[in-house]
Amino acid sequence: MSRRTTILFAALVATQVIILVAFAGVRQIALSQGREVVLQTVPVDPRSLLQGDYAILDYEIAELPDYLLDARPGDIAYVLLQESPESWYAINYQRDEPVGKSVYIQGRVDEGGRLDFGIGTYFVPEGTGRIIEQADDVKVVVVLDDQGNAVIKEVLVDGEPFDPDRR
Amino acid sequence: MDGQPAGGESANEFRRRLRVEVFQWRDEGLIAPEQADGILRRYDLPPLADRDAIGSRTVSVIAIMGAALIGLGIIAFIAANWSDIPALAKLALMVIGTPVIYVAGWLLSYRFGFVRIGTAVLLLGAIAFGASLHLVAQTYHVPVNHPNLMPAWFLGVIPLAYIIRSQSVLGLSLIILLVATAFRAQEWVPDVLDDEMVWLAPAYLVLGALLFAAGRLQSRFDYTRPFARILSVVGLAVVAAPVYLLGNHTVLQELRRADRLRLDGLSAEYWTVVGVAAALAAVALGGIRWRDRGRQSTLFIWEASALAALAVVAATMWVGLLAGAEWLWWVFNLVTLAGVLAMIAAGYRWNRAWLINLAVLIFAITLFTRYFEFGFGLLEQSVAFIVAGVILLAGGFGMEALRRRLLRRIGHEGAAP
Repeated sequence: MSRRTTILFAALVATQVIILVAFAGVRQIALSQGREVVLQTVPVDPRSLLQGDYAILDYEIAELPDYLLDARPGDIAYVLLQESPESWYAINYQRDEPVGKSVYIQGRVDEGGRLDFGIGTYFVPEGTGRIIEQADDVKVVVVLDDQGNAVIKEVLVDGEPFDPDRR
Repeated sequence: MDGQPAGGESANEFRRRLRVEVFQWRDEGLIAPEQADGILRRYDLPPLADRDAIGSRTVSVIAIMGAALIGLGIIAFIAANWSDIPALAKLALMVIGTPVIYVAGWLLSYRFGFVRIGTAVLLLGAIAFGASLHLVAQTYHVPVNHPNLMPAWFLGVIPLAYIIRSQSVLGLSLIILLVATAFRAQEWVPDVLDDEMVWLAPAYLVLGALLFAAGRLQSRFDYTRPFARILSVVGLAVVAAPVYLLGNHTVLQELRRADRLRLDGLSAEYWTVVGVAAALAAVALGGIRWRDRGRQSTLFIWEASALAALAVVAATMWVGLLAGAEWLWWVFNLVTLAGVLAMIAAGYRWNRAWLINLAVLIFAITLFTRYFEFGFGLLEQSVAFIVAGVILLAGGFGMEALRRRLLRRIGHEGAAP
């Protein structure tokens, strides 16, 4: 292998490591610096061949109001959130990014006419998805950045953080 | 001997026995390798290097299978999401483990001379990189169909194929690319599980044409020539799949029953992918022309004609589907037949055995499925099976005889990528 090829090879391996660290870093920063909200959800339990068992989280705030039913798949919408003792709920839906200090989450309209916030899956250890699926109440603690992008922090199962050993 | 077999022995038996004998004479030191090659050449037999090449290829195949198994094991480990190791520790393990695998592969290949094993370990590194990406995604609950995951894997791995000149890494990259496009396809049509899915057919045809064009361009350069065949084969296979799909009468009947298909539901990303792929294929064709400049290149005329024909087929798909034409099924069966004949002719004309093999495979699959598509409506099921079996046996025998004759002739003239 020539010196030039060795350098290219080393650069490629370094690039791959940077991609991995950057992919994780962006989300880790969001988790540590973002605004925490709790959202109500109804989960079901499928499996991904590449990533294993996970729960699909269907959020109450994902349902579009009548005045946005003409939105097409792929359209962006923002949901303004208000805190209540139980969880955060939607007070308004709009196409333009909100201004000011309001708390909001960004979603994209999916094929089913609901909003996808990019937090629809929660990966769990093999065989533990039923704990979430069979719970009476499932809430998700989500961290929001300044643009309304969301990252899942944890899932609350019947008021307690998800514990895979509770079988 | 004068090239003639002894009494009762057929020419083929004689040639087979002679080849074995020559290998043994060479191995026992009775004759020099050059003399052995001279004898084999006199009887139109492949040179000795081929046997060594087969041995090396076997090592490669076994090593690649080992790397693939370990890679699948790593993916399954990640998928199990074992909770006894904290997620961040698993993440650190993969972020450190991936470069360690690469360095091990590099040392094996270029420091200790175990090139084939080392290349397989480098392939494992490429798989580990993808597994690591999915582990990071899993840790932050990002789904597998996230638009950036598969493209990031592909973009991270494809340069490796060219840096270490590995066909297996290129093969992995192409698989990742096709999976990535399949994940992205849900963004291209309004509902990927509905009739609109058929719009993916012309898009994949254009993508296949791009891979084919890239393969033909790379056959013009010494450095990239080893990749030409795999790109061309995958490209033609990707082209064949949508043509095969739309040659299915049932599919077009279903579409005719459905509401009229419309283009306005297709996303901007769909048209961007199609446009960029078509433009890059045209650029590749220009590159071939530039590389062949100053030469009367009939090969270029064949390649340009093939790409032009694919453009016409893609346009026919869009227009035909828009018009809801049920008769399209026989058009695309004719396209398949024309394509198969063109591939056999090109393989024969340009000494590409792989092209003939691929053409025979496409023809066999098409013939088999079309027979069952129409046979059951006309005959009792048991008779249909027997007739199908006889047709396939007779057809297979005829095709194999044709293939062997063509390959034998090609073998005499030497194959090219």
